[in-house]
Amino acid sequence: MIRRSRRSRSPKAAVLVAALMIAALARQRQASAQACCAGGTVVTPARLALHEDWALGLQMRARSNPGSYGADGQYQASGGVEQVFEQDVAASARITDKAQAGIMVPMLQTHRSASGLNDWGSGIGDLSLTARYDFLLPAQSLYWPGFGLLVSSTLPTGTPPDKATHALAADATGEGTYDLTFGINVDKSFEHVYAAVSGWATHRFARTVSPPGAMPISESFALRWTLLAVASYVFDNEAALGVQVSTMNEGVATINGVSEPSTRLRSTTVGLAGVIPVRDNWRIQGTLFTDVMLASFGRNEPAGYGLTAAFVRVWL
Amino acid sequence: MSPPVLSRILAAASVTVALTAWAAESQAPSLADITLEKAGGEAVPLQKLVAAHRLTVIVFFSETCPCFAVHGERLRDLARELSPKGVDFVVVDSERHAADDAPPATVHGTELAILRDPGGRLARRLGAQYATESFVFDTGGRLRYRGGIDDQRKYLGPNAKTHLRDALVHLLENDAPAYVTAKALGCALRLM
Repeated sequence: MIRRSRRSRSPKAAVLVAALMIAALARQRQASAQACCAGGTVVTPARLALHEDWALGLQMRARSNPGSYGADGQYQASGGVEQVFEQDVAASARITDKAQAGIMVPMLQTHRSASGLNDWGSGIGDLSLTARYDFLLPAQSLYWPGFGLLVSSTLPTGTPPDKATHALAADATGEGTYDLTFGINVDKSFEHVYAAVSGWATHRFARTVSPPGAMPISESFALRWTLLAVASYVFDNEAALGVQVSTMNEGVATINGVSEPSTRLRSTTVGLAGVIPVRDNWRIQGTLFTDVMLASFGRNEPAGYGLTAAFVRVWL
Repeated sequence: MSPPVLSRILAAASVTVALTAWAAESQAPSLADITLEKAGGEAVPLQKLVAAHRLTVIVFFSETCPCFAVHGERLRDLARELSPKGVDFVVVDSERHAADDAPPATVHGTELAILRDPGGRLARRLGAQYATESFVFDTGGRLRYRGGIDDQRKYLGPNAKTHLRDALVHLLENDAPAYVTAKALGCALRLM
């Protein structure tokens, strides 16, 4: 399951969520734990592990952006403040033994402060629909890794930056366009270790922006690529701790039919993630993450750090 | 109701019963050519094993599955309770192992022996997918139950729904001849 970034605010949603997920991984026995059932590639808090039929989760996220990357890839500290708080409600349902689908509804609160202005905004963000099909589970073969297909789409239910009314656009909560994502996930569990690599491509549909008092602008986007790698260790008490790294790249956008080289997007995020299962029906997950605030690790994106916490109830 | 109508209903019911019985019978996979192995390499023809007991429970094992690990004692207790009544418990390891990985001879913490299923033939024949998945056969080799040991995965509580035990008890009392099934919650078997 995949979530994409929202350029107007904290991007990397997919990354953060993914990190949360490292989790589910764990399983263990006397001599060697096995990340057999929960699966570690979960990229939404409510991704269903083996045997889980339903999940309902609440994820809370706090992020601060002390700077941003310029169009040339240089990191620039900001003179102001940007803080984003988010609460995501996510639900998943199993369709078949190998297929599942989910939905995520985010609620955002943003605080921006700059040039003497102090702006708070909030609202519903962009709704995400996700689905995945696992051809092979990560522990199903002695040697072969698990393999799954990922599909997702974002609906522009949030407020895009051009529709924001606040002075610092703190009430912007969405991207303002639909998107469609296809991806693959390869993962493998081996005793205490679980590792996964996911990659996905996102097509964002063109949109028209109508700035007040100006001519409408037609904007279309290049394909967005995202790679996510996760490695985790499953402890004997079934808790898991992992690291994750991800990178997102998007090519040149077209503005009114003309390619605009300064619109490339990039971000790179690293993080720590952990999970504590609580009996068979609950898991508590969390992450600490930061964007790599070095030149060329980002482009036209805010740069920040933050944490997440998620509580997921599952039904077998 | 007129006699012709009644007779048609009875005929239809008979056909339905016959078809149901045939369908149930067709769900029973043949065990005739399946041979398991003891830890020392001794061959164990499964059909002979099944024919020697009133009921035979085949439970699929995974060495690395925590779900199975926590169910070991529960399975042991079930075996101790029902073995005297003619129920045999056969724990089967169908998983593929690395060349230098010798599987255990017994279920951890129990006296239950583990029989090897070379090539996973039995698992494939039965369509077994998960550790803890259990199959109950009667003396005639008919499949009477398929599913989990209970409704719990790795955290065992006192209020578990004991699917396997319930099926066995009912079968021993001859009041539950129907083929029943329940979800098995163990790890995916490593058959490849």
